[in-house]
Amino acid sequence: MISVAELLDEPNLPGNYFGYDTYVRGDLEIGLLENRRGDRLIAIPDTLISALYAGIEKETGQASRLVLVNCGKWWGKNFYTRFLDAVTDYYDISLAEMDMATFLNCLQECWNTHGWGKIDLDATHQKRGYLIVKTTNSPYAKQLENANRPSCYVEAGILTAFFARLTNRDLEAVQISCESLGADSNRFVLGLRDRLSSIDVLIEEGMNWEVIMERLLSD
Amino acid sequence: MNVELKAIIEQAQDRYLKADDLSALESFINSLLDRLSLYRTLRDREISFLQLVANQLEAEMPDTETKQLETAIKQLSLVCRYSAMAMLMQDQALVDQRLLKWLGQVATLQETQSLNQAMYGLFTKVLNKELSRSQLELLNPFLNQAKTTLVA
Repeated sequence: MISVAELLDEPNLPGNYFGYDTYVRGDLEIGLLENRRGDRLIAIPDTLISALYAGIEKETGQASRLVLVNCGKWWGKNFYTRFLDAVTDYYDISLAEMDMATFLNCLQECWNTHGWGKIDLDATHQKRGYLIVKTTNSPYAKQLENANRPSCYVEAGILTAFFARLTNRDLEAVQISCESLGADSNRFVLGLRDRLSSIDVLIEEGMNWEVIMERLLSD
Repeated sequence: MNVELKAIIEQAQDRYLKADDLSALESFINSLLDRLSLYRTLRDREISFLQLVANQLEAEMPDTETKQLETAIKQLSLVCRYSAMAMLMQDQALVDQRLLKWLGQVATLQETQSLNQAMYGLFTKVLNKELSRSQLELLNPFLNQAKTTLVA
């Protein structure tokens, strides 16, 4: 027999950890925005991202893609640790005990509240070892000069580092559709690094993401 | 914050408030004592209301795992508490934005819509029996949004 009194005795009934109203805090009198854990947050204008892309390209030329991906990876690595800490602490549960759907729901709320757009996971091809991560309204979808390829390099880096740590495998996120090229969203195929090298050439050729996935699955 | 009140405060930046604006503020204040009393009732009697629901739910769904039922009751408690606060502050967003948007997704992921349907049916019966008509009128607008979001 369920005892409601016992059930509700837990000190805090967890709700949505990343709900904007409770997650974003700060002391605006001294110009500080923080999250509920006290980590600093800042709101950055879109122009800063454009400026970063332009500045990095000016200084590093051909290497700018790699620089941006590596920024993303470094951030993604640290983001994963903080995210995991916050979530397991708040829900008082270890990662192993948490069901993946809830974990991903938290990631979606986190992504949303930070103003990074929307994120969805497509597990249709999971049995073949591929996940498709879809982001929409990404702040990183900007073209480098004279480029005409998927361009969310920072995001690719974040997703690579995050999911590699989550699964403890040598995963990579490779972008196969991009909002900067007119697609409805950005799609990244997540899979083992050595299995994804074959699609680089298809991406450079500007193939549609569905075609790329077909080729990948037919290998 | 209550959208209407927020708009009034914005307007007051440009000019003194007119009679219409002040009457919106007045009606917010007028029912405040009743709303406080209902809030206290919900706070003090939540456990007994939910226990009635839990007992009936266990009887009606003997094949459902206890853990699932417990999770549902805990979520109902969240809805109850947030709705009570939303009712007190007359602010739909308090329950919609802060809870239901997220909880709705959880219900879809965990596929609990039909369990929720049974549970909210029972909860409605309990409240209809235990609360007065005027109290139900105060609370239902906020609870109804929860039912729409969480039930199949």
